[in-house]
Amino acid sequence: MTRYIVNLLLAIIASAAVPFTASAQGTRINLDLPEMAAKASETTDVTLDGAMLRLAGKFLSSKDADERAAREMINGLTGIYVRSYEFDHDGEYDKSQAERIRTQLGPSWKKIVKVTSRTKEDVDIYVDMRGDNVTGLLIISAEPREFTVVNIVGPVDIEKLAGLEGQFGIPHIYRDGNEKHGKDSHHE
Amino acid sequence: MSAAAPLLFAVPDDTLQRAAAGDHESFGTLIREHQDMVFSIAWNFLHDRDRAEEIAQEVFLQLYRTLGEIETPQHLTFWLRRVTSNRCIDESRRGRWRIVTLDEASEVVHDADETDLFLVKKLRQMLQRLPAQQRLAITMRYQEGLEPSEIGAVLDMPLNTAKSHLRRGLAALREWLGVKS
Amino acid sequence: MNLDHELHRVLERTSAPEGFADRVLARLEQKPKPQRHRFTASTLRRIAAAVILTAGLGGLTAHQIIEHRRIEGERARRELMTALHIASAKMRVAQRAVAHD
Repeated sequence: MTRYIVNLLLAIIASAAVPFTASAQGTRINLDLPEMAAKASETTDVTLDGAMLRLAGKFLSSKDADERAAREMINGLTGIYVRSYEFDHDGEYDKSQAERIRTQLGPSWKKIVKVTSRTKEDVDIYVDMRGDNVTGLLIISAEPREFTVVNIVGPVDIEKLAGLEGQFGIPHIYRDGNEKHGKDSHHE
Repeated sequence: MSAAAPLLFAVPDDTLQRAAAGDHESFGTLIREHQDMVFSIAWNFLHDRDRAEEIAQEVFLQLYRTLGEIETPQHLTFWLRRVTSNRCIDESRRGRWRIVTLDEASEVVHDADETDLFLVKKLRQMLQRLPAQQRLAITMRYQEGLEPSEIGAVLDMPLNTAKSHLRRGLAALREWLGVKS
Repeated sequence: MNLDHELHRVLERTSAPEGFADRVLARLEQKPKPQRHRFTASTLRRIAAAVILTAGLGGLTAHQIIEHRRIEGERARRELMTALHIASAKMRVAQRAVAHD
């Protein structure tokens, strides 16, 4: 039943996605958690606003499948932000810190997935809906030794994003000069 | 040859200067000192001996044109690692390389018996699945013995990014190989 | 399996093919092809813009400006790919969890 509801939600969102308009501007979420950063052994920090996204897009290769997919993904986006905090031991960070991020979500944000695991990874995924338009995505992931948040601002193609991991790192298979895509270029 | 072996091929201090002045014999000495390192980076990245040699040759030809800017032997090693890595990434973006399957792989494996051979080939295959930056970070760590800060310097990325590439690459390998951390 | 140990073994340096150094030196001996410099209209526009910028910035060469932009652009590209890797991996976790539900 849960799977049905989630798939239905994803289908509705995917079918409702329309070209980005200035009137449907998404909002950026503040992902900084200084207390967590202070305890983390490693921090990954990506902040790409509109100008930097456009600059990055200019340097993406059209000959590389990964980067072609990336170029399609970022079309129309106004920001991509990632904070990933890694810790040396289990339980070193306070999961309730995630509330500082959730409290920023207004009524336009909808939770579309909640994964809860006792031993592995909890993942919450939210989308920002303005009418029928997707204008933002928020992912909150909590593992025993890693806490990651991702905020994408703009018209995100969620199904395409989920399908990307099947492409990243899988090289083209090249036989007898005919270029083929590996099986992982589609969903696994 | 391990990263510790270079003492056998230590070059006189003025070899760099003489090579920069156009002495091909001195340049040949430099090539022989560093060819295994350069070739191995390309080979471990591409798993294609022909392409790896082509890249390694291009690196040394580029070195010849740039010798005047190389200040010390340490600078030379750094430069070779960085340029080889960049060329590997460029090559991967061209899509002109292929996955070597377990059946096709033929390589010399040091100190391996038959059961080891399968494992080594499996691990090589899994390495090829990693994104380019993760694969390079792991190569720099395990082939060259570099610390994360040195990996970041060679691959021109912040320390935390280098650490992240290492961590994610190793996590992916563990998951694919079913190895507990 | 000790992954660290196996990675050290698998990624150990291997010998370059026999005669490698000689082949490189042989290529050096070959006559270099004449270099032709062709400036496209867009290249000329970029150079002109860089010259104007240089006059305004008082000191940076055109090459430095273009090189700085290239470095910044490459860095942004790498960060973008990192971000998309992370995001898609998390999406996949959710998808797998739903698939197993």
